[in-house]
Amino acid sequence: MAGGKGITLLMILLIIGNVFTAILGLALFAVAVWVTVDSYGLYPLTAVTGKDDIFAASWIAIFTGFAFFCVALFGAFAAARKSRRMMLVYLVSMLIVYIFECASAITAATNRDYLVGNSSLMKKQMLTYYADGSDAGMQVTNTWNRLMLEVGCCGADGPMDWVAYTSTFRQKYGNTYPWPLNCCNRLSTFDVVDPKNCKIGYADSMFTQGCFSYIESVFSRYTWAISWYGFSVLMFVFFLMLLAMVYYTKL
Amino acid sequence: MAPHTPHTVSCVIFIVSVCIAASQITEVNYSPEVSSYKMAGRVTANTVVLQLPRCYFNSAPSLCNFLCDVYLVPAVDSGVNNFDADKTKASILSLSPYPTAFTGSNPKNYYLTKVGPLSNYPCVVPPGVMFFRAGADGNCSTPNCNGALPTGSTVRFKYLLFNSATQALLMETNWSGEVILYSLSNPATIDDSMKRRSGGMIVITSILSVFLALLLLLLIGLSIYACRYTPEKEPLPSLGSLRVKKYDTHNVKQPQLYVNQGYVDETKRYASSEVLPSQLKISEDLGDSVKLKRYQNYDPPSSEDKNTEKQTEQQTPQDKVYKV
Repeated sequence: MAGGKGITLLMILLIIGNVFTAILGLALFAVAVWVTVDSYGLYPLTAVTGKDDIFAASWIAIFTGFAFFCVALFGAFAAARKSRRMMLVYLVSMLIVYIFECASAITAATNRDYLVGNSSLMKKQMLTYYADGSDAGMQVTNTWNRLMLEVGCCGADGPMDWVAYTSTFRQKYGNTYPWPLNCCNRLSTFDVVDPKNCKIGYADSMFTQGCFSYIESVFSRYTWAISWYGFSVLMFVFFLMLLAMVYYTKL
Repeated sequence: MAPHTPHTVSCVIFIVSVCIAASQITEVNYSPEVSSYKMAGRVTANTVVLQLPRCYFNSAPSLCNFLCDVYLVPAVDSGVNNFDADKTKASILSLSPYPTAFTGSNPKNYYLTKVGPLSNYPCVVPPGVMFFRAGADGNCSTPNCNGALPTGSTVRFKYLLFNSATQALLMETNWSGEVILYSLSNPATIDDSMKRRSGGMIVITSILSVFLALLLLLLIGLSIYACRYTPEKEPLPSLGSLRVKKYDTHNVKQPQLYVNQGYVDETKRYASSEVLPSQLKISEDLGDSVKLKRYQNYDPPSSEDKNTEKQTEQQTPQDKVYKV
């Protein structure tokens, strides 16, 4: 009869949708692990401000990604069994995971705006913590040194950041060098090519671009992974859950 | 009188020539400029990178090929006038040493620093980056050292040509234009609060919040619906759908004598037509007798007895009293 055929179609859709959701959840889990591992090594810059919520969101996403995987497989099983009780358990569990994943996506997006909306925060941090002797200062110094060397940049917006503001670096090392030596061009042996010209900022001897655009791109990459991908998973799961609710009423 | 006259005359001439020479500081129509190379640190808070004085002192006397030094005068605000007032003095080089040039109650606001011998700066420009950085020595105290300029001040420069042997000022350029140094800001004044929320964040937050609320409401509605309209476990009884066997109650409708052939031998126990009375006697009507209703004799219908049976049947049972 017609009712029976409708239920069978729903069941098949649910099973396929849940298996697909399980795959999505596993991918979310993997992406969240990648963000948490922080392969670009920029975590100290967020930790010093105390606002490392992008990484908190990625931790949540690890758990919700795996939870999506488990609950979706359970849901496929419950749909195949045509059991009302199991479908209800599936719906409630999926809702709980949904709530946490929403939190993760929103947190990552908001924190990114705070961290790299404009360069002020990074600049202020660099000037305050670079060359500082404290734990936080050493971490920030190492991060910035590595950044300037690997990416080839100087300062947040440019070398003028070091010139226009007082800084811990200037207090410690005086006026001889207006900016750290890592701003200078180096040979492959890491010797400075031309210290004299680097000191006055000659364009060929030092890096004249700011590091902020690179930092912003890294954090944006992390955020798009967690928040936009999480958002797309949630959109799919929303419609799957609508389907599951309709199926539940027909059981 | 006669032996002294040539001596005094030569003395007078010498003094006059020295005086004339001392007041003859040639002014060259050039002025120092900030370096034109592409560099980020041309002007900082304490230093300025200047172009070298090439071809400025072309008209220097020939002794200057080996014996002249170029000096720089950075002068802040009132230092310009102070220097102009002091420049004719013979001890100009040591008049305003660096550490006290800008400090104290009545600072001169200028100092002199040695750039290099004039022979270092020929007119033909050699390849490479050449410049002079005023203020490069930081906080120094040696004579004529290149001390750091005061932060954020407005500086003007002048190149000087000195005779290294006599320490006499020979030539000077014009004053340069004003160079305003950076005044350092405190990084704590940088405003690092969030300026704007990005569009992506607003989209994600609003859509997710709405969908989550919808999901919650739908689930609550679903649970209410499920509680109210739970389908029964047993199927509802539907009348008429049961198939009941129809029994043929033949023994009630048409009672007939049934002779069990198995017990025919036992005639004495079971009544048969020979045993049962064939005639029915009709007795007189007694006054106090009860009239009973009696049914007919259940004899099997035979052809001889048919008429008698029919007669007896015609009589109404309740009117007769039968004697058996």
